[in-house]
Amino acid sequence: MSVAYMDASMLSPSPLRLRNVIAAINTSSTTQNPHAVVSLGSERTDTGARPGMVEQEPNVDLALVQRVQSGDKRAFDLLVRKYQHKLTSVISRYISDWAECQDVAQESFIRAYRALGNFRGDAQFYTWLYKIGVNTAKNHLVAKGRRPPTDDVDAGDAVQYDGGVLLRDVDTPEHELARQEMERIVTDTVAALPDELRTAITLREVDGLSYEEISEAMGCPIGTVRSRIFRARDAIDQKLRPLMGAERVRP
Amino acid sequence: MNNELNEQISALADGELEADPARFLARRVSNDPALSETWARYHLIGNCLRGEACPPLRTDFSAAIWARIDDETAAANPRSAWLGRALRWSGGTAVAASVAVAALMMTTPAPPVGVVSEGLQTAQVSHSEVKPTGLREQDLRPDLSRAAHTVSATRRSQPLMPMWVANANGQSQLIYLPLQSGQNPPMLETQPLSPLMPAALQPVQPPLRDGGSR
Repeated sequence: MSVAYMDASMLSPSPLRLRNVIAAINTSSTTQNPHAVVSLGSERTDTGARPGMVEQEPNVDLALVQRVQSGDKRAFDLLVRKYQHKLTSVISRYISDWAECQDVAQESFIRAYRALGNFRGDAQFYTWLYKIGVNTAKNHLVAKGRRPPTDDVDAGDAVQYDGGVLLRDVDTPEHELARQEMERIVTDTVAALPDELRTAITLREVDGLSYEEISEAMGCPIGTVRSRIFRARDAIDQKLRPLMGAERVRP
Repeated sequence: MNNELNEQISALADGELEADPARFLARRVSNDPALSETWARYHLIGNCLRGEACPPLRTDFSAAIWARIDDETAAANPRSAWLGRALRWSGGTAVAASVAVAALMMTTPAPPVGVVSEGLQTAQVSHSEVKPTGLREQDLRPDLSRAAHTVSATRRSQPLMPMWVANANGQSQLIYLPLQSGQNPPMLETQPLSPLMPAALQPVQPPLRDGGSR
């Protein structure tokens, strides 16, 4: 049975092209089966997941944190690589210069590593990391004689916050161009995917559903969901890979 | 194979692997730069789809973090760093010393023939009766001035006789010739020979003891 999915109202403030992609999914699915529409609610927790959703991803974080605490410091590298873009994007709301922004993000990870022994798992790792990043950015601004912004964004909202607003206003056109290019490639590739791959990756990445929930929504086995999500990621990755490591250096 | 591995990384990124495979794969990914990059890109894709894209980071973003952490660790613990270096140095020295001792034990040069047999035969006669002898202490010392020239050829059963001869240049040269049977060596004629052992190895009576016997 084909199950349509429509939940555009709760999308994070993603680019217009991505909205069009999701709308295309909804339109095609609704056309196929207009009576089978699933609404999954609009509230999210502080990690960006919906209430009742199986939050398995943070368990990966906690397992990695515990490995670091037990002496395997290489596990921290996976946390760095997982959150490096996200945290830098958050910090870019406070610091407009992209090079400086990356310095502060690196400093935030170093502080997090130093403090990781005290992390007890009471909060999600990213929420904890987010606070460290924001405090590091504010301290950096104070040290530079600049005034940090007073309109703080909550850690939960920060997950959905459009991290590039300030950056786009003042950073160099080269960096903004690179960001737009990356975003365009991803959305174009997703739009060109077969329906089942596009739906699977969107339900997972945009709506944060678990494989089990996606398998129920799409009416297919969990193994098929896993395969579809991977194939979608692999297709996007093929297009994204040439952009990586091509940071534009400011003259 | 690579697709299968990447599919597992994809599932790991979603938190959809069982605990044991997840632990194993995470360890593998964290120790493989290429797999770590794949892991990072899969998360970046999610960021882009959620509108959290940012410009590409420096290629050494993660490496620079680890360089700082390592530097600070070394700076914060100079004693442990020094201790680590000292332990490594002493460990190497201990290994070298062990090798040297082993080499010495395996390649200790054999002492002169008489000396080796002296130890052995002294042990054999340690409880035997001590015979009075006229040898003095200096008679038991090795005669380096003579034997050192022809160590390999010299045996006490075949004494040598020193002789000066003229060489081709007309200069005098000292050589040692084996003695014929019945001929007395010029410097060993007073040594009493025992049928059991060389004369130099016969037990000697300490000259300072009273009575001349033990």
